Amino acid sequence: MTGVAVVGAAETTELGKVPGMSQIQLHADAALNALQDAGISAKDIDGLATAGSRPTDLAHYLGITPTWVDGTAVGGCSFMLHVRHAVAALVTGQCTTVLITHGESGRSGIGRDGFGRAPASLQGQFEAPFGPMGPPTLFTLPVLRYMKTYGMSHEQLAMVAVVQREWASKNPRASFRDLITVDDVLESKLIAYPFHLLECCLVTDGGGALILTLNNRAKDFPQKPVFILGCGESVETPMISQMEDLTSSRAFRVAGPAAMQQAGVKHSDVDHLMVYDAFAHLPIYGLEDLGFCKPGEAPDFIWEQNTAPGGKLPMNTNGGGLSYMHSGMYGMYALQESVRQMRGTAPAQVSNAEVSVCLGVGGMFGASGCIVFSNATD
Amino acid sequence: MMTNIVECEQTPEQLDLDMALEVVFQKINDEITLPFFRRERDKI
Repeated sequence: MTGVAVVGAAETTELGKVPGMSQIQLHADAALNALQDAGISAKDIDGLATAGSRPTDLAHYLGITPTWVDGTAVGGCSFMLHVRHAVAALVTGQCTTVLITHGESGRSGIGRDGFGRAPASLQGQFEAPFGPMGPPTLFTLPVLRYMKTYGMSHEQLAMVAVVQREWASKNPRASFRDLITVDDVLESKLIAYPFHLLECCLVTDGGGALILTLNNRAKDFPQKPVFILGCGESVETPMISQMEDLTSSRAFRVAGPAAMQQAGVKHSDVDHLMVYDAFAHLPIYGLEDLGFCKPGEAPDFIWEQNTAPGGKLPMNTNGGGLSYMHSGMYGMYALQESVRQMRGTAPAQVSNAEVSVCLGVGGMFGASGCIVFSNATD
Repeated sequence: MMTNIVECEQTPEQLDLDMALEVVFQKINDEITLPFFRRERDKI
């Protein structure tokens, strides 16, 4: 136990195509929904964290006077890092009630800051001149090495998307809900070899927010508290070409075990898993780097339906970035699904789930944050 | 390092992982010259 619990959690009222809301409105909509969920108002918030927009903007927009602020921005897992930093702030008395917000007009592009890379940055100098076109092309480098090293087939990669669509089919808020086959994936448009369209994440609009406080205050809130048992974080490199090992994420290998060690949970204790899936190979890396599978064995593990509905390790139960939603920084939605599963309110609820592990990626394997949640009080 | 393989058809069949390469420098402008790679000549 870290001593901190989630007492408010919500996504934006709408997800998908939301052209009527700007990025900051999406932040605010999610924040107001989370405040309502927790039965408090913005004046009760004294800790604020966000990424994609500045905390200054959100504090002004929401009317918050924080005594603690975190603007850590390391990509889509920034919100996992915010959770970890908020735990430290709460237990050391820097604030009492933390709001973490995410809002991103990823599809409609209304009031969005964008992902521009300065020409003088490391990536701008040493990768951009050779023509990569953002994540779909950059993420091909590790997956092609993985395929050669471990003999993963195109069909096995496609199965990741097939299984996640099974979960999405149970979720009324998922963007894509129609069941698909391995052939459907392999016959979808080739985006950047070896990725087909259905192996790439969605691009949608939306947001989400979390409210955290100390366990001893959590009983005063209306929702069933979700306890944060452990957290981990790390970064590796801004350049995917400089990964220590293209078949494994160093940031995953640091953040994941740190979170599970702090939580005091073994792999067999984990009932539910979220692994940020911007592209189909990420859950494979996550399963191996967290230690649920040995290197090279995750494709078979997924192929054999272990992470599918009814499997022994339900994973990405909202449908994931591949089928549920992906605004650009998906980490918040993975956290939201872990919280729903621990509250027992998920559309595809895993029965009797008590421990959920949520692993995020930032950039192209550049960063990671991992949170272990539980609904058990002992 | 990030680079491009040049003088080669840009297909998965031709772009073979771990094939032996040799560097070729291409002048982009008066200030910038970039390193690219092609299949090693004596392996063709």
